[in-house]
Amino acid sequence: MSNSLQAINLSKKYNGHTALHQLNLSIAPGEIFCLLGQNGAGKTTTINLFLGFTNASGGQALINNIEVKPNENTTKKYIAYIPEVVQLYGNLSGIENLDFFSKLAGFKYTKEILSTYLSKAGLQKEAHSTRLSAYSKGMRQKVGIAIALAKNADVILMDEPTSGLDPKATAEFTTICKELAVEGKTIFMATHDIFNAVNVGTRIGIMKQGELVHTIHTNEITANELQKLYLETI
Amino acid sequence: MLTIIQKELIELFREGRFRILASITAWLLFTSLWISYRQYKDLQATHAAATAEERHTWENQPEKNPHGAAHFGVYLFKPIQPMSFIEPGVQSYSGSTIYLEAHKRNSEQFNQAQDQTELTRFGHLNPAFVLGTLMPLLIMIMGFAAFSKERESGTLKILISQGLSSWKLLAGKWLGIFIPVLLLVTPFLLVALILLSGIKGFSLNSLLTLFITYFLWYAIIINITLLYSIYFKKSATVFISCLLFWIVTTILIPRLATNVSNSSYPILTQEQIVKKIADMNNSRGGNIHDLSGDMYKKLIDSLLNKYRVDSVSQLPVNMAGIRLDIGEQMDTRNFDIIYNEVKSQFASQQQVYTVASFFSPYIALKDLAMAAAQTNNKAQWHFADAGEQYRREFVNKLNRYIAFESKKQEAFTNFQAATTVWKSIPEFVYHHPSLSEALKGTVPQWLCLFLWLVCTTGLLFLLHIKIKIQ
Repeated sequence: MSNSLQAINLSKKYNGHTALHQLNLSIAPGEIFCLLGQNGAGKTTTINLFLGFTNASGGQALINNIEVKPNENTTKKYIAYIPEVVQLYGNLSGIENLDFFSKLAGFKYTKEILSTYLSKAGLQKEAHSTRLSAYSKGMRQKVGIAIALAKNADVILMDEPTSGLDPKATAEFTTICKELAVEGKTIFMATHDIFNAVNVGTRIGIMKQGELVHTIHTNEITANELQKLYLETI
Repeated sequence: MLTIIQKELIELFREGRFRILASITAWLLFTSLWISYRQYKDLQATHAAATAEERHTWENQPEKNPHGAAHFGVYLFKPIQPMSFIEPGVQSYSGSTIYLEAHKRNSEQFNQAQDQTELTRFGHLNPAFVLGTLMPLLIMIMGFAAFSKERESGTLKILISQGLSSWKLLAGKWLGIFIPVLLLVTPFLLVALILLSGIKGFSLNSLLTLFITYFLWYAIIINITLLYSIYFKKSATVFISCLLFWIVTTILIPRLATNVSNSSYPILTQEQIVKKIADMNNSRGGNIHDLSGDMYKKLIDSLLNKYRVDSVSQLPVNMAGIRLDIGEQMDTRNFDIIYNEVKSQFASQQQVYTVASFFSPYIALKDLAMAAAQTNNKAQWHFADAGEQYRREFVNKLNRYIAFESKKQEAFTNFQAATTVWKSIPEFVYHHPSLSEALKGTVPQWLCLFLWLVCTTGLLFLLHIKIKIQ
């Protein structure tokens, strides 16, 4: 089985400090991998390495079996990124934001298609033409998902996507992630939300001081057990 | 890149803050243009009326001694440069009138500023102020958050992850600021062109040169703003840094340069000039007007020898006229020495400004804009020298009239010239220097602007790599 996302002895040092130490990880299409860990554990560094935003100090980061560096222009075609805070552009409507980011990725869609993506991401039709400044955090998050959908990326990297979302928005987000996984997308999510990780994820990793300490299948553990393991680990 | 530009423009034009600021800037730009133009037209009409009145007064003098007429003198009114209503330069402070008379080279007098309140020292609202000083502020407000806000809101990472190259993002952001500036300034340029095209002596090349300098200045300001926006993480820090750059370059360094140039190379005052001329007259060993002095005796001897006669009464010329003519020549030599000294003091002051312009491109911009509009000190000197040349010619003509046209046996004071003599003196006609002449010596200023542009552009290209890793 081919891997969408792979890290081989991936390491990163900043000014002598080890942010990531020999990470070995393979994530297959259709998987939702949730990475848990405290702030500074190396979650965002891992995402940045897969995005090609920073150079690895050692090892390899691969997307669809292509090494990110120096092929980041190619690997970027396969990935979409959803940050913790999806602000986007407040003076543009949801549909205009989506159109803009899609064009940057090389896709020119009609208004109808753009609208379809927004609806698929769970955004109500009447909000499509409203400026983003009037959106809630959850609604903006949905536009972020629509951007990822419209890019038709194989891999979606998410950095604490449920942070600050209300329970309803989190539940909607979870549903969308599961639907994407069913479609064969690979989701890599850095999160603090243990209960949501168990709920949405297929596999969970726990990081501590730049090292991946545990990797567990979600069908092997309950939320309470995971919480206990997490607290023991960190 | 077009996608970025399009997005930047849509966002900008939907931004209430920009709409208000751009409207205020446009209003200031066109209002100042219209007010300055009206003032220019009024001044031009006043100038034409005063010139005609002065000529009428000159031509309608009664019969009188020509030297009396030379002392009666004439007023020259400085022609107003067509582009002075866009860039008034030093015109308001340099005097509008020169009084021409025998034996003296008078300075320009009656400047506009002296009749106004102390607030005038803060500067007039004119198009040059809006274009050169306020427009950079608008640019900074438009662009300070270009990268810092993207970074703060997390959209920078999404942009790059979508496959957008950082140089395309940079170019898009740059043009996203430049295009609104172009949209604001171009209509102004067109209106100015329409107003100027009806004015005699207007040169399209001068207007284009003026705007090339402004656009170079805007390009530098955009570069600086984007550099700060890339370099500093927080938008607030970027904005304060931009503001600091604006204060230092448009207010502090120009004023500091003025203080340094004035204290290092003080210009001779009118009193000092008068004293110097008196000292020079004393040191040349006599006065041609002293009828018992050696100098006058030598003159008589040379004339008796020249005309091969034995006494002054036999001379075919009036000695008074010859004496006045020679005295005037001596005075003009002194004026040349003194005023060359004053000019070299101005040149030394200009050198201080030139050095300062490498720290503040705003000084280079002002120098070039004033040169293109011909409202700088150089243009004032060009007019003053033309006036002095005219003074010498008309005084010379009157002196020679006494020398060769009066009856030699008549006493100088009794001689009266006919009224036709006044009309025979040609009117003063002033020709503005050509644009290439006006721009002569501005190579350091051009170099300064290009150097700033090249260096800031180079830094942008070096620093734009940083966009990726933050």
